[in-house]
Amino acid sequence: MVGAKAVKGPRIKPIDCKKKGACPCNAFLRCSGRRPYGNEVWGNKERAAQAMQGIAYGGHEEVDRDAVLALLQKIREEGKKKPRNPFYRNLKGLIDKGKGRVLVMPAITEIDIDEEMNRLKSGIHNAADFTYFQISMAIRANLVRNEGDLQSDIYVSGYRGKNKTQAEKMIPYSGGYTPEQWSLDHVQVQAKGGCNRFCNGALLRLRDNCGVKNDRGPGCPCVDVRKKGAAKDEGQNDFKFKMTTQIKRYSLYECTTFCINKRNKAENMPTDTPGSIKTYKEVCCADDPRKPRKKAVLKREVEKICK
Amino acid sequence: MDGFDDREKNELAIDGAALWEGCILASCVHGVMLPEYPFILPEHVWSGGIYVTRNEKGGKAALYFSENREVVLGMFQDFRSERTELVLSEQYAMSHYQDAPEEIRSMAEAMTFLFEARDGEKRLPFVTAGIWGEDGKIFCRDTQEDWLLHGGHVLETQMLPFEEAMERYRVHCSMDERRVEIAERIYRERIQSPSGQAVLTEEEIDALAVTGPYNMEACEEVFGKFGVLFAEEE
Repeated sequence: MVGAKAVKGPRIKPIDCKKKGACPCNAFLRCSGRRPYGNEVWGNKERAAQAMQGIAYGGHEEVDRDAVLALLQKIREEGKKKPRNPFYRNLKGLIDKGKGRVLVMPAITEIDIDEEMNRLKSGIHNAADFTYFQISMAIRANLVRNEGDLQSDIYVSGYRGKNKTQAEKMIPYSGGYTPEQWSLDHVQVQAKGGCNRFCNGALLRLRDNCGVKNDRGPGCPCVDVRKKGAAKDEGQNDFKFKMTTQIKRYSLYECTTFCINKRNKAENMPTDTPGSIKTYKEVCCADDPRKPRKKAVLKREVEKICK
Repeated sequence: MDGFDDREKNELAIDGAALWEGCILASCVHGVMLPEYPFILPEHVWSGGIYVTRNEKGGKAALYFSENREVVLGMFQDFRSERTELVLSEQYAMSHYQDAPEEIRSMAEAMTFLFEARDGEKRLPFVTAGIWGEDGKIFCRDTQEDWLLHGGHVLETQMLPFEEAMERYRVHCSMDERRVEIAERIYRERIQSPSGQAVLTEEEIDALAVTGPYNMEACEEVFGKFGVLFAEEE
């Protein structure tokens, strides 16, 4: 950004940025220019047709029979002590006895996808969870891309501290939770304002998508992230978004870095800081994995914002 | 970081009956969306008065409701909690119930098996927060804020008023209008009485079957677990 002056607050600088000083436009472009998840499948007629077919899958957690028997015995004993308490009977019903089940992701059509994409428009926002439709689209694309095997996506080494340079097999679930189970991760960290556009998704093993360490890495480029309770800069607004099942570990404020030029003009914080992706509908609207926007168009949109 | 013993007993501002209704609503939505999105199967499970919910980030909550819809016991697991360094032990799991009556502590000990995580060869309970009920009130050894932070947030949508929760489900669960209607009707019928039942009509069953015909058996089983039955074919 030419002529930018320093402002208070943390800078967003992607690790691969060669420029000196803050380089927020680059981070913003990189974020908004990422291709929607599964575009290589959904953007290809033949492969999209494959992804839209019905997909049957099955399986169950490996069960330690001895442990299950010991548990049943323990519950029985406790139950005997309190025969009128239905809790122990109910608990028995939750023991996974290793019963498998086959489930089917039904076939879908272009019309179904169009309808869901329309419905999705109102559901795209910062720190939002991915919807069932988005998860389904990601899984279908992943399966087609990996010829029927569900495999985790590769993170560039060092990015987000994941160091995942090799894809790993993942399993769906039909009964229990295991570390190898798939999970749709937010590339730009959700707790730091990362949105639920398709371009912000990546399939990972559940083990790699949970834990405090998962918060490493950047959130939405429009957000300044501080430790919980930390003070905001003078004139900086709270970053307002609909909180879903997020753990509020951070205080999020509107990023001031993007609007330096505007700030210079007005001598105080502009009212239209890029604090929410809603403000930039053209750049941050629902992205369609079947037809990603061209980079040049995006660049023009971003330049408009940065002027 | 919280220790084992340096926490006090706090009363939480949770309405047990409203929470039960929220769990029923979540389960109705789950049931109507399951045929189309079978991968959500383990997200909500009932066994009698025990309700278990999981989210896609490894968060889990289990609640035990009494026959009159009061919360007797609640257990929470959150892999993103800052307590993750402490939690993998039976001692820590039970520390959440230190001030609870003896009977509740016994039940909590049994319930920890739902929260086991692998630690090398061993399987140990991974419990980041716990609640229990006494005389119609809900207690916790955390403040309300800490409880939410360390696992209570898994029930965040279940604790919302109906309209807000439904709006959230509509978006997050990719619900169309017809399924919103079915979920709401079944929910209203089901919450009439805690031990009562609700029945999905043939027309409603057909509407769900269109979205995922091969998963209807699982759908019927899931609904049956919390007292919603499929109408018999005429």
